[in-house]
Amino acid sequence: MTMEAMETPEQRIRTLAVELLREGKIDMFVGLRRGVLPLTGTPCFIPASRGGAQEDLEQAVGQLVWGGYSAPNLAAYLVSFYEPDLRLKQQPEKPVLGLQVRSCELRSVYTLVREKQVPRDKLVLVGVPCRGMVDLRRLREKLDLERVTDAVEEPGALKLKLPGGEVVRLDREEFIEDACRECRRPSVPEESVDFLVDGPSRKEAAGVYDAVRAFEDRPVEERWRIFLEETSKCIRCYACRQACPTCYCRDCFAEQTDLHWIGASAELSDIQLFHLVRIFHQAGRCSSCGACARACPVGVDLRTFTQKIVKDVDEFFGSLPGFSLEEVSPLNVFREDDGEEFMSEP
Amino acid sequence: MGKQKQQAKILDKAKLPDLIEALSARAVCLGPVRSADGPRWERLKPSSVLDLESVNTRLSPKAVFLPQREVLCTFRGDRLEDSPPESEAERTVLFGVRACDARALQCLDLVFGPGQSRFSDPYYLERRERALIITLACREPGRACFCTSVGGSPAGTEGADVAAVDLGAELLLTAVTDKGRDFLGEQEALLTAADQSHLESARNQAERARSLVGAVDLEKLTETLARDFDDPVWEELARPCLGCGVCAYLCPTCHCFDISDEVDSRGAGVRIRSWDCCQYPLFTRHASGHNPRVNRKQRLRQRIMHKYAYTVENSGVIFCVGCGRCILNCPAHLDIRVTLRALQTRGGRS
Amino acid sequence: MTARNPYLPSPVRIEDIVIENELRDLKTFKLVFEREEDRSAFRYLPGQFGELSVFGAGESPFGIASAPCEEDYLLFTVKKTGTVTGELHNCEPGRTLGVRGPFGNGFPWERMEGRNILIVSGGFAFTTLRSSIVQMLHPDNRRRFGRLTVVYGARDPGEFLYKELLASWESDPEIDLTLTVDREPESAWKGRVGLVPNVVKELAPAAENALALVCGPPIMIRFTVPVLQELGFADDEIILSLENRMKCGIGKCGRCNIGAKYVCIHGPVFTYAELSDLPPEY
Repeated sequence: MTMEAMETPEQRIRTLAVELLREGKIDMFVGLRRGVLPLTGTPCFIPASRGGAQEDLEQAVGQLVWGGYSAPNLAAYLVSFYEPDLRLKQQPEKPVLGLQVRSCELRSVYTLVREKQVPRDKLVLVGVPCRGMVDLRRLREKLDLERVTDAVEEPGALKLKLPGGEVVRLDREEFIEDACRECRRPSVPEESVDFLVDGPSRKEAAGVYDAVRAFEDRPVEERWRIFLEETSKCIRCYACRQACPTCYCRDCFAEQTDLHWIGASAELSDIQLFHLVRIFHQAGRCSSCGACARACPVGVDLRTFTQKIVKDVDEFFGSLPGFSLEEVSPLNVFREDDGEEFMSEP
Repeated sequence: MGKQKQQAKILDKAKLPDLIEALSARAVCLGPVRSADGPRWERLKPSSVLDLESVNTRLSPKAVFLPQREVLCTFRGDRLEDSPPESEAERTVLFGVRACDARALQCLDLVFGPGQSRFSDPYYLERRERALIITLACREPGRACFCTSVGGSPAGTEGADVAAVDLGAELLLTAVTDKGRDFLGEQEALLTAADQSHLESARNQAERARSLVGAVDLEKLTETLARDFDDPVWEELARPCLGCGVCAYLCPTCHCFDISDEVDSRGAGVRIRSWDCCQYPLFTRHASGHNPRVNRKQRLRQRIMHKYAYTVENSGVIFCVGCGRCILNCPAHLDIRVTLRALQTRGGRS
Repeated sequence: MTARNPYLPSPVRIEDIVIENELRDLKTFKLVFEREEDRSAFRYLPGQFGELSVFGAGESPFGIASAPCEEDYLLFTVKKTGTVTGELHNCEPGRTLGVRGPFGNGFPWERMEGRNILIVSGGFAFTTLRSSIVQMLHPDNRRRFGRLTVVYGARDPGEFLYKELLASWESDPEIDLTLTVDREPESAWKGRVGLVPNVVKELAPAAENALALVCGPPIMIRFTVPVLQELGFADDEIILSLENRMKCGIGKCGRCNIGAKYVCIHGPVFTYAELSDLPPEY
């Protein structure tokens, strides 16, 4: 048994990060560190040149964590590193980034590479295992999360400390995000990344489309009512769009004024169109990571609609995004055998 | 002492539904209603289940005075038709506003009142005029609260017309303004006199709550912000930010808005204002394409500087009440306390 | 809303439209208030701006090009760049628009009393300077100011605004006007050739008891300010007018700040000294 195999995933990530940084293989490592609030993770950017001693790098890398911390999809940060600065004639050299990726984040990265937003050869991908992310919203329904002073994650449990010392022990699986519960590929394949961190991942979900089918099976009035109810909560903050790694348009349709597609406010019809169009723009591109729903401050259930699109693209075109760098999105390609039922049998 | 007792009344919590009924007859009555996702500002009915224990609502009550979408005027073709009539601002009672949110309204008053610009915002001011604010003192702060570090306190009464304290089975109600005094007078039938023990309970509760609020050292902040505009630390601090707008939308003192026209195919339309956010990339982009704040670092710096430096320079007030909503709801889990601390400790090392 | 609502535009009628340049993307609109009470309430100083509305398209801020002494109308010169300006350029005389204002601080007229005034401008930033010059040249006002020197540059002869007015000023003894174009033009041009900063340097106007009003594209300002400083103008004697993205115009919407200053209420006119204290975010 090698030293590597005895390391926890967290330790292995730190070892890899410090090696890559020290050896000058990357300009910056992008991972997660603990957020201030319990069970949260916040993106951590560690540049190679710290201007200081070795210990500085060790200390920086020592912040990196692995676990079910609720965190954004790290791929959402990539485009800004590689997009050209239109003010400059000569573009500066772009950095080589080391990036830790869960399976869903990897799929987002692949889509960005395929769409030429991020160069593959500038990325050193460190695949990490995933047991699923803690669902803070569900936790908040269970107890007053704001007063929890500390939390510890164990393989099967969440232990939350309340003021006064009381410890509440919860079944971890009960508080895992829906996106993770429905994950079709929680483990990162070794050949898809540059380094693979060993460790426990969830099992692939059995009924990935169960929730979507349950929605589809409802009568149309019921589906409309759900759509209405969910979109009524929206405050048009764009957190879903900003958190989504594949929403990177410089000029989002929702904010265009030269062609005023939709109004700017939280007027319901504008909200509905915003979501419908944004979700359709994700067709053939969504990695089902759930970052959009997780980011939403008012709990709009976006996933019912995003996963419906994922299912449709899967069923109509036999395609799921982000598994291969070579595939072309079915919506960017015309094939003579494309189905036409929507025209003949709407 | 005697005067204080005169202004302080007791409402048996069992009578809350009666109070709500009495208020609803003549005003829109809003309060924090229990929901699976935490208390939400909703219109109250006598049967409403109030949540007076949770730390705070997710959305602040600023939307009552500065709605996400507000019609400024209507037009038809090239002609202005109408602006919302005075009577549209209904009499409103907000019950259960936390001290931080009430203070925040005073910050917004500085913006929408004549202030530095000699112009007043009639839409906001009408709503404020017609509203009665009943604050509810916090018994136990949350982990993201830091009101005491920005000049507030859990039982603070700034911005309140009536200050309420939850004493368990009873609410202690104290008039803070004339409006509040009149209100208590109107509700006399439901109220009883408060005595020394009530007042002492309230005082003890306030002291205890105050001692529990996490402190953030902001002593060097003004000096740092004035001096370190170009410090490279801003670049680091801005990296995890997604530019998503949640912080500004939920912040009780953030007030930036956009004005746009919406017109139908027959030429009838409205000019609306809607919430906007300095973190959005297009916020400062000129028609020519030039954008003075083209990157995330500049935009994050703007937000911090605006709240903790520019408003202090212009009106002497920090535009932050320590409510913690930005901390609790940031999808990237940025923590403004960490940001402020980093600025103060890094300052001057560039 | 009994008190005057600063968000509501007053109706104005387009009386005339003048196409100012060969590219035809600069038009001057002559606007007349429909209601006398709006006209008489609209008291402004040169340097201030107004918000022009085209209902349905939106609103945009423009420096007021007319002078207060031109009592019966307002002039705005609009460059076609976006949605609202595009819509404005589609308008015909007779159409009703909306005007809000006047907003902003205007030029520092009290300080300017009794001083020599140097005006340096480039491109289509000349609008509020037209307002200033017309106001100063008015017989009732002229003696309140000293020498009036103007350097106005354009890319080529076709790009000058207010050509007729400029022609009348060239032979007006009360004003010393120098026009210059960036490069030797193809068309016949008897005037100067040279970039504005260089021309100012050559002319070397005296800084003594003078104030310089500088309005132009950022690059012109960047190279003109050092020339003025060398000539002896103190930083607070160099007066600039800024452009920024503005919406409400009244200091509420939070969009136009540069540091702690809102361009719409503390500006758009700032001295170079004031600007040096502000972050370079404009």
